[in-house]
This record gives sequence, C-alpha cells and structure tokens, in this order.
Amino acid sequence: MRIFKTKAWKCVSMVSIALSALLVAGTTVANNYSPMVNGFLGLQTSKVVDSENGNSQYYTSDYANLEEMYQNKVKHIREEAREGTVLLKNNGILPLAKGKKVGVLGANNLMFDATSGGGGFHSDEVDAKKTGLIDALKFDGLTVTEEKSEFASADAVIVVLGRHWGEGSDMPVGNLILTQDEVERINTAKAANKNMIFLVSGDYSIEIGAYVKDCAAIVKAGNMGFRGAYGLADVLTGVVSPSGKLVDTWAASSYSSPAMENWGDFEYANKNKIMASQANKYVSYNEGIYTDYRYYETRYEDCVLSQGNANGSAGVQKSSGGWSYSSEVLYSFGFGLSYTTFEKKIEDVSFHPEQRTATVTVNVKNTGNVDGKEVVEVYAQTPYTQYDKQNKVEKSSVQLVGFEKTSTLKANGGEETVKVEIPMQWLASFDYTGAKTYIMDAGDYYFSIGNGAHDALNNILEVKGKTVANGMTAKGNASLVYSWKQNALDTTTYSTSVYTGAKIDNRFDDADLNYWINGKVTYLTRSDWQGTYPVTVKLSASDDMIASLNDTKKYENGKWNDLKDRVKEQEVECLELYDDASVNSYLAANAAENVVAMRGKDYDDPAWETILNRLSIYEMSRLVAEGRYFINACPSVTFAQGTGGDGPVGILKNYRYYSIDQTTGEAVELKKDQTMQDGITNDVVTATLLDAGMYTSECVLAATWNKDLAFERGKFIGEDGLYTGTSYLWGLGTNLHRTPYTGRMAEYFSADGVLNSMIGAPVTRGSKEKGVVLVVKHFAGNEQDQNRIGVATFTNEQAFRENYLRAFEGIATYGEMQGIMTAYNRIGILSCTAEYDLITGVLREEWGSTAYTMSDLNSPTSGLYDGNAAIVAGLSNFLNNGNFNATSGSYANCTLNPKNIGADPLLLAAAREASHRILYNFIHSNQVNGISETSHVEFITPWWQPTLITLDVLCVLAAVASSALYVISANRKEEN
Amino acid sequence: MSTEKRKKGLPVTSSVFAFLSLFCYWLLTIVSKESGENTTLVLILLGISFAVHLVNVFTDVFKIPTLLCYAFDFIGLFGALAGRVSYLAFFFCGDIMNTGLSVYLLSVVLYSIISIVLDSIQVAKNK
Repeated sequence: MRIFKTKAWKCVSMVSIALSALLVAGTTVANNYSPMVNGFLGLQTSKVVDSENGNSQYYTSDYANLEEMYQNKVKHIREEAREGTVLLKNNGILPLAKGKKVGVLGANNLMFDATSGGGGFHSDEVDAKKTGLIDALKFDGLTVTEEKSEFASADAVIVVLGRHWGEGSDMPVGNLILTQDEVERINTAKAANKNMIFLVSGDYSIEIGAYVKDCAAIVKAGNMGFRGAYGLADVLTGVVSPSGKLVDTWAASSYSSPAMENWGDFEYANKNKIMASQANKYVSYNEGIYTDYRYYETRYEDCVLSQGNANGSAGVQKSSGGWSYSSEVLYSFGFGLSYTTFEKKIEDVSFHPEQRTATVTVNVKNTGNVDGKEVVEVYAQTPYTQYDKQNKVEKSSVQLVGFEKTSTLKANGGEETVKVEIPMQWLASFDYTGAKTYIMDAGDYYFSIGNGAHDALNNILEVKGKTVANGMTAKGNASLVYSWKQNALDTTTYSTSVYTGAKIDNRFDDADLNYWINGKVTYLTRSDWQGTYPVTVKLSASDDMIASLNDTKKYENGKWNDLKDRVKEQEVECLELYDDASVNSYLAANAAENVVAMRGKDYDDPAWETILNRLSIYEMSRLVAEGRYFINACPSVTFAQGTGGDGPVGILKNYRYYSIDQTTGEAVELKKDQTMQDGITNDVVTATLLDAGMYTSECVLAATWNKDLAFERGKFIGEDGLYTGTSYLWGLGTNLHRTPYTGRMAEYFSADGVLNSMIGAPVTRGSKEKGVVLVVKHFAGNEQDQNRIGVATFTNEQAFRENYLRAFEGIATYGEMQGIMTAYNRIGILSCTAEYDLITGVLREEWGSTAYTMSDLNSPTSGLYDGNAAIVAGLSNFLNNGNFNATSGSYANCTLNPKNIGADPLLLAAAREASHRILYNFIHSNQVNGISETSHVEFITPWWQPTLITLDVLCVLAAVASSALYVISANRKEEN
Repeated sequence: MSTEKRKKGLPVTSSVFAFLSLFCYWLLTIVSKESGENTTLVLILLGISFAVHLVNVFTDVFKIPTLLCYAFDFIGLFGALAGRVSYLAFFFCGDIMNTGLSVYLLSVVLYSIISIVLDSIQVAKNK
C-alpha cells in the first residue's frame, strides 16, 4: 500500500504553508486592530457581573418604548424644520392655502441628508422612507404637479435648487453658480407662471442674485432630515408662520468674501525640505476677523461714514465702480421674514459688573394678522479708536452678542417680554500687539435690535445721524438702540477669565505667519480696505518653520522643555499592573473601588484621589489609547465599557432596544422586522432598519435661533443613546463657515461664533441630561476640509479668539460640555492635538472646562503629532484604530504601551489626569446604567482571539507535518 | 538552452525577485515610519528568504530548498503586509485620510507574488 502519495502531500503542504502564513499574519493584524475587530463584531471586552438593577438606572427614557419616542422625535424634527425655514422674500404669494395648486420643478433637489463621510451613511430604509417635498405638500392639502404643461394653471411654481457637499474636501469653487440646467428650470417656470417661488435647499448660498427680482418668493431650507419636509411644507402652506433667520450672509457672489483669496490648496514652495508627513500644506487667514457679516457690514458702515477707502474697487464682484453693499449682498446674516409683523421695544438695559453681564429686556408685539414667533437679536457695536489703529485691533461694526426667541405670539396684539443675557466679555477685543489681552476701548458703545446684522447696523447709523443720502440702504430705527459711553481704555477688567479668574495673555503668537516671517502678512484692516484687501499668500517655509515641522518626536528629543516646565510632574499612586490577567487576579483578592459613587461630586473633590490611586497602569493605558470604538472598562474602579457613535446629525446606528425598564434596566431587544408607526402620518417603518441620525442639519437647527428646540434635540440624542446602547457621540461640529464653500457646511452651525456657541450649548446640556456625552468638534481652526490633516492654519490671535475659539467657548462653559475633539490641522506649526495652549491653556485654565479631550482619527505614530507630547499637553484619549498594547511595530514606541507609561513619571501623571477626565465625564452618562454598589466588572477575552491562535497552531502543525511527509515521500520515490 | 541552464533559470529568477522584495521593503522602512509590524523581524525574514533562494540556485537537496523558498515567500509577504494594512483600508475607504499607498509597498507585493509564482512552479515541477 502506498502510504505516501507524493503529489498529494505536495499539494497539502503548499496549501497549508500559504494558509499558515496568511493566518499568522492575519492574527497579528487582528490583534493590532483588536478594537476595530471587536467594534465590528459588536463584542465587549468586559462584563458587569452581579449587577443589582434596582435603583441603578441613572438615565431613563421619558417614553414607554421606542415607538413612542420615535413618534415624538419625528414631531420634533418637523418643528426644527418649521422654525429653521427662512423666508427671504414674499410678495404675498405665500402662504399657499389648502386647496391651491402648485407646480414643482426639481423636487428631488430637496436636500435631506446632512451626513457625510465621517458621519457615515443612512441605511437604505432610512433613505427610502424619508419624506420628500411632493408628499409633504400634498399632506398639507396642496394639489401638486410636476407636469410642465400644468404650470400655467397653477397658483405658483416652486423651483427647487439644491446643493450639498460633505467631509474630506470642500465644495469646488464655482459650484454655487447656477448650472445650465437650473437656469433652464428657472426660465421654464418664469415663462409658465408669474408666481415663481425659489426654494433653495441645502445649507449653501447659491448665487441666485440675477433672478431675485423675477420671483414672487424666496425660501431657504437647509438639509431637512428624515421628516423635515413636513415642517417646510407647513411653512409654505401657512400652517405656521416662518420664523427662521439666516445663519450666513447671502452674498450676491460666492467669491466676494475676502477669505476666498486664501481658500483651498496651498503648498510650501520648498516642500522638499520638509521630511515630516502631512506637513506640506498651509492656509493663511489674512482677512483677520472680517469673515461673513463682520466684513460686509463693517465695510458698509465705512462706506456710509466715508472712511477707510471702503468704497474702493478691492473685493468688488457685483458692484459697478466702487464697492457697494446693496450690489454685493442679497440678504444679511440674521435676516428672515414672517407672515406677520412685529413691533419691538427696548424696555430696559441693565449691567451687572460683578458677573460681567448685561441684560437687554425687549418687548415684542405681534402687530399682524397671523400668529408667529420672532427672534430678538441683540448686536453690539464697540468703538474703533486711534488706539486700535495703532495696535492693529480690528472692530466689526456690529457683532451678535445675544438672542432669544419668543413663544408663538397671537395675531393682533399678542406680546411677550424677553430678557437677553449678554456676556460682556464678548464685547471686549483681543489686543494681541499692545496690551496682549482683552480690552475695552474708550468711546461710544451701542446695543441694537434688528432683523439681522444689517438692520441692527442701520439702526445704529440712524443714531449717528446718517441717512440714505449718506449711502444707507434704508432708514434705521433709533428707538431700537441703546448707547452708553466708556470713559477710558480698560485693559484690566477682561484681562482675566470670567469663568476661572485666570490671567489671559497671548498664547498663539506662533499661529501668526508674521511670527515666523516678519511682515509676511498684512491683515485686512478697516482703516484701509483698499490697501489691505487680502492677497493670496505664496510661501516658502523658513528654516525655523522647517525645523519645527520636521521635529515630530518633540517629546523624546527633549525640545519641549517649556512644555515639561508647564506640566507638573507629580508622584502618583496607582496599581502597577500591566495586563488584564493581572488586573483580574488582583481583583479576585481585593475589593474594587466604585467610581459611580463619585456622581454629582466636583471634579476636584478629594475623594477622586482614592479612585485614581486604585487605577492600574494597564487600565489607564486602555482609557487613554483606545477611543474609536469604546471607552474601555476599568474593573478596579467598577467602570464598565461603553460604545459610541458618529455624526453631527445623530447617532448613525440602528436602534437596538424596543423598551427599557426604568427600574430594573431590563431591555427588550427589537425583533427583526419589528414595525412602528410614524408620529405625523400613518406611515409604518421597520424599526430595526432605522438609525438614530435623522435630524435636520446643524444649519437648520441654528436657523431656528431657538435655544429650547436645541435643548430638545440634545435630549432626543440622549434618548437615541438609550435605545441604541450608545454612551457618547462625536456629535457637534462647531467650526465656522469661513467661506461659502465650506465642505462640511451642513455639519457646522453658522458663520458666527456666538450663534454657534449659544445654539450648541443647549444641545450639549440636553444630551448630558439624558446621558449621552456629546463630543464637540473640531477644536480648532478647521474651517476647510481640503488638506485638513496637517494643514498649518495661520491666523492672528484676535481672529482666532474672537471668531474661531468663540464658537466653542459658550458650549464649553454655558453648555457644560463633556467632550471635545481636537482638529486634524495645525494651529501655526503645531498640531492642535498636542497644542498645550489650546487644550489646556484655553480650554482648562481660561474656560474652566472639565471635558475630556480626544484626538480625531489619526494614529499617534503617524508623525502629525507626537503622541506622548499630546498626552502631556492635556489630551485625554486617542481616536485610534489600533491596539494600545501592541509590543511590535511603531505602537510599541509611543504612549499606547502601558510599559512606556509606567516607565515615565510625567507620562504616568498625564495619563492619570486623562483618566480622571474620562471617568468624570462618563460616570455622568448612561454608561453607568446598571452599575450598583454590589456590581463588579471583569475583563473578558473576545472569543475570536483564542480561536485564531488555535487555528494558527493547527495550521502550522499541518504545514510542518505535510511538508515533512512530502519531503520524505519525494525522496523515497527518488531512491526507488 | 542546455538542461543545466533550464534548471537554474527559475531559481535564479525567483531569487532576483526575492532580493527585490527585500530591497523595496528596506526602502519602505526608510520613508515610512508608520508600521504595525516589527520591521526588523520582517527584514530578517525577507533576508532569510533571499538567502534560501540563493541556496536553491545551487542545490535543491532533498527538495527542501524549493519548499523553503516557497514558504518564506509567503512569510515575508504577509509579514510586510500585516503592519501596512492601514494603507489598504484608507485607500479603499476613499482616501479620506489623505493617505496614499506607498509605491514601495506595492513593489514588495508585486515582487513577492512573482517570486511565489516562480517558486510554486519549481515545487510543482519537482517529482
């Protein structure tokens, strides 16, 4: 009998050799990316044992089950869309009453989905079930036709124009110009029916200027979300009166913003000298503070006041001759019409010096025939003085400083008095060359109420005695202005933080290109619009810049002595355990602490020392290193693992639970194909296929100017967290719309930092109340998506603080923010993720935030930043795919490895502090639901790890055996 | 062509590609610091692969060298790929990470595959 068949063994050995190599390598990859694998498989790496569910549900739903929650959620989305729809022009054609007939051209241009790359995509179910414009209009009783032959007999024709972009790049410049197809659509509608209504959908300002006079009405509706079209239809049909206001200036030309001169792809001319990866690109914010309305309104005022060469030709796009506001701007920031009219009166202005706040009390009366809501927008003007000109302090002619929205005021006399609280530090200007802190100039100050920034400014100009003859676009209303005088320059009051009392000094000198190359940038100044209008910066990096960019191992090279001096190295106590087995073994013999007992206690409560002393180095490593799929468990302090989600429009995960018992926490899982009824129609949706990210865009939410609605959104995010099993969301984008071409326009609120702050703050508070840690992003200076990874954002500190940081400030402080994500870009040369002055200096020392900080998705070994330096600078957590515990490859050489943390006292202290922040915020989330006094947490090994190792061993044995048998049989055959 | 030359044709060719794999991987470690693998270990494995290929040029005693060449082709290739899978992931995800595939990594893959094919033929030819 031939036992050895040579050919057979040859085949088996070749196959098993290949398979062994693949399996062993695959096992290495899987282990290196174990968080990703576990996340994909939905596996936990820890479990809660012996949990007593009585009294340990800290966060519960306000609803009996998912169906009830969902029905209320869609109603909320409808409200967002109602109040976030902006009416810009109306000759009386709107509202379209029930029974009217309307033609629609381009219905499929209604933008629905505000998600993009990082936020993921909706399931087909969500996509298929979204409400479109036609259905929504019919629901509200209109007869709708898309047949062009019927347009002439319709009461009006709606032309839908839409734009949307997304993450990873910016909208190509020029895309906001009407396409040929859109022009034809407009001409078709115009020819067929004199009542043409523009419905501009999506969050971009399409260039419709040439056709404004031709249309009967213009409506701006952002990305509507899942059921938002019903809200839009409610506005168009008069079910509700529009109350939305623009969140950006709508310019006649999308090229007219001075920021456009430095927008896009810029590479150092001498990039060949830069060895570091992701370090070749830059962008310079030469416009300084003058973005959006700060530019248009300030230049307008200077035209009226005949100063600063404002009416020169620089920056002209649509004006003939010199710059003219009415030619360059279609509709101002904050503008929006209603179906009714309102009368406003300033009843009182009071100042509270100790709190550094002011209160503006305004009475609003509905003087029209339709019920409606109105926004009270308070703008401030501060004086532009000789001191400012000498010290390069720029002043916007108006800036939004506060707002409130009324409830629905009944027609013909319904009224309400609102109090608008103004944080006075927002009137202070950052003097980065002279006093190097916030100042208040001597001179005349104004509060002005208006329907948008331009209206508010006209009121101030009226007070200053200016008229249409001076070039004003309209007469102002002096009664809507309150003025006061400051007698002397104040460089003291606002030189300390109103939140913490910390001294405020320059922190970002090196974010200014002039720091590196003296005189390289001339920032736009209102003292000479013509002479300083931005030019595109072409740049060769200086030797110092190159050296700094190439120094990617800042921590190890010891070049960050100043960082190490600023961070206190401290002796810390902890458990010196370096793997999960030793932690489990320790806890088998020693009781764990219970971090949940720290709920409600201050961040600085001394009792935290006991908790932190019990953490092991292994657990600290896991908390700090792996942030993409989990917030990891810490069994030694009875802290369970939690999972998160992405997206500024909600948690993009399928719902998992149908109901959750409020007392026991017992959850009933959704059955496959379980259906639920809609809250607006009788429509039925399949619950298991829905995801939680169905809200309107952030722009639409901001366009409501309604803090209560924003709070409700936050609470619904919390509800979504409960029903999806999610404890955190990388959820709130709050970078500014620096130009009209911002790629992630829909995911960032507006062009104004105060609006961002004051709409974002209630969202984070609402989410916190219901148990989801809402992570705000991207901190900071990430206004363009092109080259976002590693681009050096150069700006002066006044613009950085007053525009871009302000967008985060109110959320971090008034919003009780629990988490913040650093931006991919550099601020100046230094990556935001490792920038001490940003993530510790401003965030902690000046704002007093206790939020945890996380990086964006980028490996700390990539060279963009030094992972060790990031932790020491104040980062809490990396959004990282890889396995912190890898002992091979480049992961072994950076922060992620517990051995490295344990060996370096400074790293250990920083990791402990990072763990403190994570634990502090996550014990105030639904992640602690089910943890009681008798609970304990254990690490568990996911099933695939031992399975893979077993397969590896078997396969290698098979390869060796079959190879040996092949060799033996082959040689025996030869002998024979 | 003589029988002697035919015998050496495949081993010599595959050893050239084994060398090219090693060389390109070495270049990759110079230009790219991001790796999930132990680069020293992989260099050693690719070095052993090349050494075994050289031995195979001169002798295939007991059919072991050809089998070892074949085995180390796979070991070296997958060892290099194991730590570089992030390149592929980001590439296929639409490059939102602005990370491109390295030409050196692609070369390692290409040369390794050629070497595998040639060594497979050698093993298959062995009786």
